[in-house]
Formats: sequence, structure tokens, C-alpha cells
Amino acid sequence: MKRILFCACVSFGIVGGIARADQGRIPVFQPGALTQPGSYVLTRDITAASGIPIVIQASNITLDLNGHAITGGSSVPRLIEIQSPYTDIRIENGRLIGGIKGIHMNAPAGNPGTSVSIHAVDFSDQIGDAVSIDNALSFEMTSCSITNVDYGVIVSGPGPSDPRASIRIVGNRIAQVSLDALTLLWARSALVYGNVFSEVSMRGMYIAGISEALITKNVFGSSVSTGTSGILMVDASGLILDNTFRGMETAVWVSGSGSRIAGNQFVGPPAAAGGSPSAVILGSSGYNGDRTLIELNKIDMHSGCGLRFSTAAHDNIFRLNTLRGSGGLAVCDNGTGNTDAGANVY
Amino acid sequence: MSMNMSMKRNAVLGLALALCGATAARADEGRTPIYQPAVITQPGSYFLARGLAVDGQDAIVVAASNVTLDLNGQSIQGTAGTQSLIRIVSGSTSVRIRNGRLVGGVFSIYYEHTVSPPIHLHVQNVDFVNMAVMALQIESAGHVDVIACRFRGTGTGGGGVQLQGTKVSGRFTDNLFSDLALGGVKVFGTREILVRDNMFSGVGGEGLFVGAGQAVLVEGNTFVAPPGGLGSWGIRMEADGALIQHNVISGYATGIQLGSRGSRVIENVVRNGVAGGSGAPGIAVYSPAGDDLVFRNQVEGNTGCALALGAGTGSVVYRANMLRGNGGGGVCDAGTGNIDGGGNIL
Repeated sequence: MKRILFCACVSFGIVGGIARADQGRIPVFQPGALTQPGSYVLTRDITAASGIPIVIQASNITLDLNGHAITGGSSVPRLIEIQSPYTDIRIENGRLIGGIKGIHMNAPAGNPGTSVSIHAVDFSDQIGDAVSIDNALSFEMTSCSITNVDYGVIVSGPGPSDPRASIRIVGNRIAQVSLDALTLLWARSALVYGNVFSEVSMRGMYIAGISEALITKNVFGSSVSTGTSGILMVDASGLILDNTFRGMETAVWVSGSGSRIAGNQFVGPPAAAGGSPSAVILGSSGYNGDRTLIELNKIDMHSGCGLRFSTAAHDNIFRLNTLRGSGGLAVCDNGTGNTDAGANVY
Repeated sequence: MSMNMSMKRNAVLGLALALCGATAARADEGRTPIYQPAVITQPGSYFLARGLAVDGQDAIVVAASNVTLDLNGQSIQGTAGTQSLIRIVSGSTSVRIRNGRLVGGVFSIYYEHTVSPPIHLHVQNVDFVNMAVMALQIESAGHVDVIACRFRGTGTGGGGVQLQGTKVSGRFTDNLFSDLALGGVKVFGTREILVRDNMFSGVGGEGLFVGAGQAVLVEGNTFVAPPGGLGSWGIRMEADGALIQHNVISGYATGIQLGSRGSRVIENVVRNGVAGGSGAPGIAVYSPAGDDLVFRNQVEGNTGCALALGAGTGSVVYRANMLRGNGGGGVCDAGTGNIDGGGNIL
């Protein structure tokens, strides 16, 4: 008996060591709901033909997909649903394939604030959105890949008046999105840094209602020249710095006040593609584009206009830009009070 | 008594084994272990459970899509006669490889055939050591991320990354390339490429070569040629519309060479170009280049010209550069219609 107990204790000792090694995480191996805070790990691939494979019904949850995939058929509404009012959710390290949506949260307005972080997840083949999060207080997505979806990421916050409302999109790759790659709405601040947007079919980024956006060191490319844009900002402002844009009809379109567009590299679609290409457009119907500083950009649009100021563009300044190679006109100014501050190269 | 003892013994032993079994499953958290040379034929999450050494055969063959391979801190070591340490079979895509060391072999990771479907590959935190030809050779690339890896050759052989394709996008960030005689990163058929915050130390041939394409951002990298004249180009750019900024380049026959249109070269330091003798320029722009902007660079200590504009170039604008202290002079312009935009220090 003593020998048996010793044997059992040894086994238990090994067990204890291994349990520490995997840090006591809770295994998930089939569809279900996560109803308690904690650290969960997916221990096998999950495939679902219907229903929602993973439902998060608690705050303070980390879900490590552990290199595994959750795959959904065309009638699976979302692969992972975060229910309201749960917050502080982290999802990482795996694949979400198919379904209508990848990760979804639809919190009602007035939600006290959800914090969601997604890291190193590959999304592919969603019929709708890879990620859609409503009323997020903070949202972060890093080192992810999104391929072949309708919309890449749609995130909305409670509005720019809440200084905590923030969005951070860093080091991702988003490609083959038939509509918008990023849709960022109603937050106080947004950082979009070091991402690659490939094969943009409509818009690389649509930003509305964000007062402090920093969009820097991203690469935007499109093989569809007409009707495409790299960044469309409506009622928003920020710093658009050191990005490269290739092949879009409009690379940057800003309707808002007080932005700075600097150090970017613009290459337009081929002249034969038609349309009305512009590297930068300020102002649009119903929204002014005012007091924007446009400097140190390199613009080579082949046709159309390098800088286009609409009738709703006022008091903007452009200087130190290289505007050669536009094919059409370097600057098309239909606004008022827009100033060539010098040192532009035409 | 005997029966009771036996039942108790079995109960205790059963409990121990049950715990052991249950926890063993949790120890690898549902991932599939690899402990000998293997062919992966199913999607899933795999990890290397021990180091592998191979002589003449491929260590791991990936013959499925949606595979995550965690090298788990282990090494795969091959002799010089080993073609590939990890070979990815044509048609496999969405592969992630991370966290380990690949030593020796002709290729460390190899995706075969230029006619294969383009692969999506993510490689992170992998050490590539002493490859005979190329660490990462992808014959048909769609999108490739190489993040936080270290590449170290023998000094007289080995190269970093070579990607071929027609629509190649990718991110190369936070890597170290050292002692590579056959070049650092070569991309052919470029679409959207981001190369940021890498160190190229003792890299011969081309530190970075980007072939025909558009939308490239090269920023914040350091390129240092090896001694003995093995370094030919720090950056050789043949993609249109590239943004090359904030790099340090030292010791190459040509620091930066543009053979493309509409690029912007700004705020780089290019120095000590001695490897090519008196013909070694700091920055060279060759036909069919044109409409490029060379702005605010510091080019000094090169044996050739600071800025060489070849025959057939036109509309290249250079301004506000510091071009003193080069053996061949400040600007050698054999083109037509190139423009001194002022502020250059000769």
C-alpha cells in the first residue's frame, strides 16, 4: 500500500509540475460558453455548421487559440461572440476561418465600456466582417492577418468626448477585402501603425468621428483603380504621416479640421484607368476640410490632380511637396483661402 | 481484506493514472507533438517536442494549409547535403512557423515551384543559422511576414530571404541579418512591402533588393557591408513609388540605387562607400528612373559621387542634401532635366 501511495504521489508530483507548466489554463475543446473569468486555451480545432462556437459571457478572459482553428460554415453567424456588458477580453494566437463574422460584440449604447484585444489571429473567408465591435471603450489589434472578407475590422466607440475611447491597430496585414479594410468610428484617439493593406477594393480605412488619429508608416495598395481610396476621414482629424499609397483613385480624403498630411508617398493608378484621381482631397459635401497642413509629400498621380481642394476646403496650407508627374494638374483649388506656402516642386 | 486492499490499490492507481493522463493532455494543450522527421498532412497546431538532426532528407514537410508549427525553442539541424529543413509542399498556405532555431541545410524554409499557388506565410522569432544558400526561399509568395527573426550566415555563404511571385506583399520588421554573403532580403514581383527597424550587419550582395512593383516603405534600417568588398548595394530599389527614409547605410559600393520612378529618398545617412572604388556613389539613380525626390540625406565619405544621376534619368529633384566629402564630388548628372531644388551643401 505504501508503495502504491508513493507511486501515486510521484505521479501526482509530475502532474503538479506539468500543471504549472501549462499554467493551469482551462481547456476548450468543443463549442460552448465561457462563463467565468480566467485563462482559456483551445486544445483542438473546432468546426461548426451552425450556431456560435464560442460565446464569452464573463469579463477578464484570455482565450488562447493555441495555433488551432475555429471554422464555421456559411450559416454560422459568428465564430466568437462577446456578449455585453463583459469587458477586458483578450483573444490570441490562432485562426478563425469562415462564418459570417469572425469576432463580434454588439454592446448597446451606454455600455460602460468594453476593452477588447486581439493578437496574432489569422482571419479568413468571413462572408461579412472579420471583426466587428460596437461601443468599445478600447480596442487593440496587433500582428493579425485578415484575408478574403467583406469588411476587415469595424470598431465603434462611445464618441470622441470620452478621452478613454481609443483604438490601436498595429502591425497587421489586411488583404482582399471587398469593402472597407478598417472602419473606425466615434473614438477619441486612434493609432494605425505599421500595417500592410493589400488589394484594397474600396477603402483602406474609413474614419469618422475621431478627433485624434495618428496614421503612420502603413502601406496601402490597390489593384482596382476607380472608386478606391486609401484613407477616408469624415468629421475627423489627425496626423497622416509617412505612409505609402499605390493605385487608388483617391489616396487620402479628409473632411475635418486641423489635420496634418506629411511625408507620404503617393503613386496613382495608370493614366489609362480613367476616373478622377487625386492624391489628397480636402472637404466634401456637408463637411469642410479646413486648416490642414500638407507638406513634404511626394505625389505622382499620372493623371487627375495632385491636391484637390473642394468648394468646402478653406484655409489649408501646402508647402514643400513634390508634385511632379501628376499628369493632370498639380493643384486643383476650388476652395477659398488655401495657401501655397512655398517650396513646392511642380 | 485482500479484496478491499486490491480495490483500494486499483482505485489509487486509477486516480493517479487518470490525473496523469488528463494532465498530460493539458501539458501540450491539444497540440500535436513532432519528435522525429515528419510530414504534416493535416491542418492544425504542431510543436517540436525535441531537437531534430537530419542528413540529406527534409526534416519537416508541410503538406497542408492552416498549419501552425511552434518550434518550441528546439533546433532542427541539417547537414550541407540537406536540401530543406522545412519544406512546404505546393498548394499549402496559411502557415505560421515560430520560436526556434534552424541550423544548416541548403534552405532553412523552402516553398517549392514558381508555378505553385502563392503562399501566405508568417515566420516569427526564428533563428536561421549557417544556411548554405538561403534561409527563406519562397518560389511563389503571396504574403510573407518575417518578424523578429535572426539570420546568420557563414560570412562566405548564405542569404536571408528571397521571395518570388507576381503580387508579393509582406512585412519585414525587427529582424537581424548578419554575415550573409548572398544578400539580406530580395523580393521579386512586389506589391506592398514594409521593411522597418531591421539590422543588416555584414550583409554582402544586396542588403535589400526590391524588384519591379510599387508601394514599398523602407524605414529605420541599418545596412553595413562586410569587409572585403562583398557589399554591392545597401538598397537596390526597382519598384516605383518607394519611400526610403531614416536608414543608415555604410560601406557598400552603392549605398542606395534607384532604378524606378517616383520614389522618395529622405533623411538617410549614406557613408563610407569604398567597396566599389572610385565608381562607388552614395546614391545612384539610373534609367528608367525619374520623378524621384532625394531630400535631406547626408552622404559623405564615399569614394565615388555623393549623388549619381545616370544617362536617361529626368525630373529627379534633389534638395537640402549634405553632399560634402565624397571622392567623386557632390553631384554627377548625366541625365536630362534633373533639378537642383536648392539647399544642397556641396
